[in-house]
Amino acid sequence: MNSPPLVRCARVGYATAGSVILDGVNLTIDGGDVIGVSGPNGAGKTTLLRLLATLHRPTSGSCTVLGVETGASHGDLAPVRRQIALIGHHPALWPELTLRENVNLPAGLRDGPADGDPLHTVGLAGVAEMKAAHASLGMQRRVEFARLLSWTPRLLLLDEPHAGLDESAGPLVDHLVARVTDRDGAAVMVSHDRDRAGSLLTRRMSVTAGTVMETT
Amino acid sequence: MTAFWKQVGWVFVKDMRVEVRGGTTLRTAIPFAALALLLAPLATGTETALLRRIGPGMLWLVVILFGMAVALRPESDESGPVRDLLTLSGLDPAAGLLGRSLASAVLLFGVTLVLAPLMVVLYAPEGSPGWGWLALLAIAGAMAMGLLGTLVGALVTGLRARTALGPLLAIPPAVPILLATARGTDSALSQRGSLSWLLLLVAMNLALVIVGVLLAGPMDETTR
Repeated sequence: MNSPPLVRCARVGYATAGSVILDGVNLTIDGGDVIGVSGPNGAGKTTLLRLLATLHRPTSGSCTVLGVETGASHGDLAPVRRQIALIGHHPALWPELTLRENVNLPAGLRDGPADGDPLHTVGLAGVAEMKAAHASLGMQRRVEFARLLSWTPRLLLLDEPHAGLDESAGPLVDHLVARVTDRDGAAVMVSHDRDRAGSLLTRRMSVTAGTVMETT
Repeated sequence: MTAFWKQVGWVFVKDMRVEVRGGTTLRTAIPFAALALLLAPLATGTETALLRRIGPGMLWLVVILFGMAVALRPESDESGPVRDLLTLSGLDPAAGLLGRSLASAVLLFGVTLVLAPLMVVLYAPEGSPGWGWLALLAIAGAMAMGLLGTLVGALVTGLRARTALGPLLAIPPAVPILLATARGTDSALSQRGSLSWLLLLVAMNLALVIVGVLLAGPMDETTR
């Protein structure tokens, strides 16, 4: 028997401050999918990721993520949200804390820090005590990847994951995506860099003026 | 310890660590608050009897005004990516609010501890202190201000006018806290006991906790 899709959205729209950002989005994501999303700036790609992360509620249509309607109460969404990871355009770091603290502190809300040293795995062991405020964008990105070494989300959402990263970090993104799909999870990756994102993708989509279309 | 209280503790530890590194309270609020206590006698005139009378009230006025700056400090505004991270890590908004309130309360209690001796030196208030009452008033007052500031901070989170709107919303409900702490201190200094004022602060704390816990989830969703 096939397992149910991880995400099922039907005619989803999202509008804010009088502007329609997404309109009539139909989307199904199954376990093992790695979806590349492209499109011009301002087309609604980041909003789509936030809808999938349950951080935005659709203003029309319906969307079910990991079995729960995204319009549900906080209490109903909480267990679903704990299975989703979003690495957004801007790094989610506390600038006053060190890179190590930025990895270990959030792990305290889950199952504790990863075995070993995640910062070593992402190539930052030598600067672990540096304040995040002093780290480059690429280093901050690597800290976010290091966090994902202590747990495996079912839905991994990446917004321009290669931005600011040097060539050597490419396999790191691939490794994280593979960890998710190996456990029947799915990944959605917004990227303008088709070459770097391309090797793992199983599906491609394009967002244009708020509409989402599957491409080849 | 339940998961909820673990999360409260987690947020408290994280906020205190950020504050220790950032030092907003130490570097900004305390020096300016001390300066306000120092300059007020120059504005009112150095009539000793007047200064003795207004000393405790001035202390709490300064603590509450600068306490608002502590509770609404930029480091406590977790909007954007960090807020998303916490939401997706399963942080209960009510636990987040209580943890942040607790951290603000500890900082405000610290501000009070630093300013109180300065007030005694500058204003030489009348009476002999009932230390027990003063300690209880300071703890309950700091907790109430921490809760109020955090609640207002959550309401205006992510807004560009946060630092302007925050105090405007917080000052009206801060009035009973100011009255209870200032009048309670007067009573404690005159050895009359401050039970009624302390009970008012406890009631305010309870009301703020209930409102905060009930509204934290909806506020989190609607201000996203």
